[in-house]
Amino acid sequence: MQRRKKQPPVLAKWLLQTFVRYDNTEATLGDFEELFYEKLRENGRLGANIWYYGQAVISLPNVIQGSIYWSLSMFKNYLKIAFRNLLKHKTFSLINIAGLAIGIACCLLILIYVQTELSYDKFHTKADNIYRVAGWVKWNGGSENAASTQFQVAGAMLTDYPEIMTACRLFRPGVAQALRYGDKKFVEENVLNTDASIFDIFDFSFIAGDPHSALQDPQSIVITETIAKKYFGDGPALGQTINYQNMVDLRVTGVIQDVPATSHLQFEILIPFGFNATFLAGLERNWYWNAFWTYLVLPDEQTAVELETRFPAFVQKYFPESFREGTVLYLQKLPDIHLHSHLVNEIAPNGNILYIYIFSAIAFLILTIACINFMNLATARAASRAREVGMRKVLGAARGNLIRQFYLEATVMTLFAVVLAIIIADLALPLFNSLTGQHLELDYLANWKLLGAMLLLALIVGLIAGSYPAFFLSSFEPSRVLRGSLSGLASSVILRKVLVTTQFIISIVLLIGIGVISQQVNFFRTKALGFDKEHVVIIRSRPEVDRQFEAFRNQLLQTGGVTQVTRAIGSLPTEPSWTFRFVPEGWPVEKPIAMAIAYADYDFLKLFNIELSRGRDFSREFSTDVTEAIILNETAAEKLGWQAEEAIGKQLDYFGAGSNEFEKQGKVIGLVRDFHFESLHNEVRPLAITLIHNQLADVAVKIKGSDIAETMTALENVWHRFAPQWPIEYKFLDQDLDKQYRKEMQLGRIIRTFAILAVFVACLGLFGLSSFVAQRKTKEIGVRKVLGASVSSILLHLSKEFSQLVLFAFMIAAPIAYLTMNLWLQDFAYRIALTPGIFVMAGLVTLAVALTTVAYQVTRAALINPVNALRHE
Amino acid sequence: MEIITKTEEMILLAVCKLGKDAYGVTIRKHLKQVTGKDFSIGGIYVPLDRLVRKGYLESWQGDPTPERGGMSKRFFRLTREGQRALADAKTMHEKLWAGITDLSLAKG
Repeated sequence: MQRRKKQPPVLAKWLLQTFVRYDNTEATLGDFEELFYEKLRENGRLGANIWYYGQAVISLPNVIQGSIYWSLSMFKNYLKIAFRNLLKHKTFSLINIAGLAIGIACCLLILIYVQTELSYDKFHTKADNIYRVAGWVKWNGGSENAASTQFQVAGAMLTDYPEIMTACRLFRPGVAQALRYGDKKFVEENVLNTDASIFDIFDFSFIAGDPHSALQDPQSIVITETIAKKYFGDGPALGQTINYQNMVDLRVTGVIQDVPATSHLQFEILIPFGFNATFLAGLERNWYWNAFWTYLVLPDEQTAVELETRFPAFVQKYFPESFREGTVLYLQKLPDIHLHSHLVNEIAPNGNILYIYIFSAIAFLILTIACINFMNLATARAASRAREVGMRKVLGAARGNLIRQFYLEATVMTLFAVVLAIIIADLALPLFNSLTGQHLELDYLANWKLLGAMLLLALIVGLIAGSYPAFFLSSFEPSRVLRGSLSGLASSVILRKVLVTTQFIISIVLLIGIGVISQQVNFFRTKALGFDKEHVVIIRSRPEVDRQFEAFRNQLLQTGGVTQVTRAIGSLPTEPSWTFRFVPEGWPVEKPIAMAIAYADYDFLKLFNIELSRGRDFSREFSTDVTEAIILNETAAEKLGWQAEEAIGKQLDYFGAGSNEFEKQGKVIGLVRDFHFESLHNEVRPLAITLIHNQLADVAVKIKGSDIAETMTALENVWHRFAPQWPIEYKFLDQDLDKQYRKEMQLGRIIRTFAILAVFVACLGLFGLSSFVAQRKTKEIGVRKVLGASVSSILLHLSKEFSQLVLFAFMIAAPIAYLTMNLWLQDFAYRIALTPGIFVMAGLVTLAVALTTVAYQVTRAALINPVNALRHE
Repeated sequence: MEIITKTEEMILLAVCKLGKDAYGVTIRKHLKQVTGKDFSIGGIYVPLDRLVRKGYLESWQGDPTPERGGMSKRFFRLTREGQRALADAKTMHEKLWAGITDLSLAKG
């Protein structure tokens, strides 16, 4: 038919249809058709089509504008209702917002922590091309995977492998160094020896001096800003002379900015290896001592991989025969060091990728709990919104509109929560910093990634938390809710109970965790170490004191506050112990046994009250003791295959460090009971103790428990008489020992904080749930009261419901916690046993807290006047 | 007195003038004739809807006709409030223009 052909183009019609969807489509489309036919008559088919299409396209912007306008009006209404609801139920809103805020604040803090930890060492421009040489070394009796390697490795590698662009070494003198400027004397801990090439590899910002030439001169020194200020005040540091170890004068050739916290390399002073020719010569001969951190710059990763394959040949070529087997060198990428490297002899204790996982998990958990709370509380108040939903639906709201409305409410609350979260995070930052040992900053302006992450977080939280309430509330059928029946809500109660139970499971696990960690830490600190650590002062010795040690010792004993004085090296947990190669009687010389060795003075066993089980102590009466006497601990005797009594009198020789000559050929004169000369993380190793001879050893002084201050002053005076040019350095042994367990204590503190948070947020949720349940049961309670139930029996009845939840949570939490804690405890050679006590405590605490939370609601419900309750329809 | 926009005023006046014949097409043609501008959907239908929502216009359906592909027409007429709004607009207009004879009278 003719008409068919003259229809307006279908596509354009469809377009118009879509654009005009907002209202009374039919009439408007009809208008356009009418005009179309007019145009058809006037301009013909083509003209009409063009016009029609044109109309469709032109309409677009206006239509958008129109619908936005319309949406905005509804938006205004939704906002108004959202705020009204917020204010009407102030308590609930506050709980909701607080819960979310805490969750978001936690996430924020953990975000910067993770961000900082992941950014270590990345500020060096060559960071991706810097590699550290690490290696396994093995000797008879043990092996270690060390982060450092031998002094010569760097040089030999540079010669043999042209693809290495630069290399440098770093070394930390084992003891604090004495530096002097004019008459200002300082003792510095953060000194490193290095090569001039260090600045070609790492980017440390120079404030004064030239990086390329700074350490070329062997008698130079590079210091940080803080050090410069300490020594020279505000005056110029460059060119000044600092005296080092009373040995040599060094010229300041560079001042750098303080090393950033996000660097695994930490130091304040750099001194070239060559500052003293003898020192350098000694290092160059030694292929045993693997104490030098070696860094290489390679062009790319393939070179690194390829280079590693050639390391075995390198070891064969250069390492002494006894070391070749068992030495495996490999490369570590610089950015990986901080989180993934936990080798022996790291420059500084590294972070742990495990912590990042744990923290992220905790943040996620707490946020989940907060979202769950939100969902719980929002749906718990469903009753009060039910009628509104019904009315809106009757008046024409589609489900989509309602969903949008409730999402908006959730978003509004989330936004409030975000604002509150920023405040909370700011206030909690110092606490968090002390927990993690970092100095983090919440700078939203500079750290745009943080800002972006936070907004994203807010969005996601709003979406997730608001999803369940939005869908649940919008599903109400007007016919059901307007009639006043709330039967549809019953099934949601189960879900809510599940959610609250989950919160409690998390909380209980965390509580048990703290319990275990605290117990373990306590165990460490109070466990009998096999020696007395109280009132012992360890003084760092100096040659001047050492030369006249007997006189020094006598004068100390005369001060009255001092009861014992001795010396010791490597025999206390506060210092590393050395491992030497021993050849017992009848053993082949080529296969020495590795054991720990400690040097001590005559009164060592007495001062520390270490129990002698066989034989005798070192004694001044036996003049041969100095050259021959060795005391073993029981584990050593066992290791060497000697029964207790037969060990006495046996020959025992050992090699000097890194040499093929015997340092001593001795005889066993006594056995002591095992004592913990290393940290409790490790089992007691076999140990040989021998007398100090011509070695600089720390002085251990046992003082009386009273008038400590006076004794210390007297001590200092005696020191000054012998070594006036050195400041006295001392520490108290028991305090020092505690430091070893710092890591565990820190972990404990962290978990404790998060546990408290988790419990708090879970209680928020429980509070909401309890009020809902109380509301729902109003009629039931009324009936019970009428039938004669007492207030207390109702209290019991209501509490029972919640107690069941906690009990159930406990049953699930306990095994989880048990398995996790067991795993953690495996790391320690000496650990506590997991007794039920901790578990029961955690459970009871949770129960008590839970009951306290619901107490208010439950009591209120129980005290209801039945008349009012039954009127409640 | 709520101030209505120029477009709204024009449409209200058009509806007033067109009387029983006021629907999309006629309003559009009328406006084109007077102003020389061809308004499309956004210019006509959106304000029309707005005016209905504001209560100045009410609409009623007409009969379907074959020229319109079988779709009915939607007619508009002024409500009481609409009449009042127009009257207010006229008053405001007169007040604003009162006393202005020479448009080149700009304060130097």
